Amino acid sequence: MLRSFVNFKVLSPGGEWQEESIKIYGTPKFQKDEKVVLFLAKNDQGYWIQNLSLGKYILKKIGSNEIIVSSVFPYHPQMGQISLEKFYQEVQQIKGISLVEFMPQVNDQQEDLAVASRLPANNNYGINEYEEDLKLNKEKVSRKPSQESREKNISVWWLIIILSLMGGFSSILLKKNER
Amino acid sequence: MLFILLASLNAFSLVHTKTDSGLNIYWPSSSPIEFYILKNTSQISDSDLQAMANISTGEWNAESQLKINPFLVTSISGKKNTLQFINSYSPSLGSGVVAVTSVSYSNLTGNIYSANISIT
Repeated sequence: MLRSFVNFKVLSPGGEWQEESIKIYGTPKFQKDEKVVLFLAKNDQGYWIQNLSLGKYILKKIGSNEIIVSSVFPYHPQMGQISLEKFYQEVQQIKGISLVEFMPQVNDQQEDLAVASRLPANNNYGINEYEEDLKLNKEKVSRKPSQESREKNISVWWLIIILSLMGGFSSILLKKNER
Repeated sequence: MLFILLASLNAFSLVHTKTDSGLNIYWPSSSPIEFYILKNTSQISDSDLQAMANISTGEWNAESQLKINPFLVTSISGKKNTLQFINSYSPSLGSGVVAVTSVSYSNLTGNIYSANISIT
């Protein structure tokens, strides 16, 4: 497990070379000071994020509980949200070893899994903020690619009927007032 | 306000993907895009591949002003829009990745050079 004391490089496909950029759709995006859990695989170039954005979980704190939320499917019943404690237990169960502190440059025995945390825990993070974040995140992941889309027609007949009725009533009232 | 509501019968939206500097990423020409499908799989016959390409691009062309012309080819050279089948990605992107779409563009102008789809 890697806490905030160590910097190391995480690789993701795509990038920029001179004036040309290559964008790979589905790669995770990061925000400054974001706390994340990443699924990584090490090769001779460094630590690669696995399964594009599926390999990124966002660390959230609700009260005293820490949970990790999938950056792609935050509402998925099985994999969307997992308590950090349960995540540790499952890592232990699946890998046969528990997450340990490591220094990538000097001791990188934990090759295929790393947890990164970049900020001290924010104890003021509440359920409302968490829900807001989830909504924002949902909007981000549900953004459609560049395309023209045609929405369904909005029926306005009800509006025309209501306006007609309102117009009729108001003219009757005006006539009554004139009398 | 009511007039606006009445006038808004259809809603259209166009969302541009942008470069890091905020430029729109776009195809430099409105002429049909040539899309090359590499016949490098033995699991799908050429006729099935052609049929799938026609159906897919037909669906797209029915909706978009920017048309796509698919071509089945046995080899590709240079920067072209391609769809190809590959055994694995290098470096590995993980077993959960079945296809990768990439777009190459100028970060000075936003002009798209090529778009590529790789399917495992």
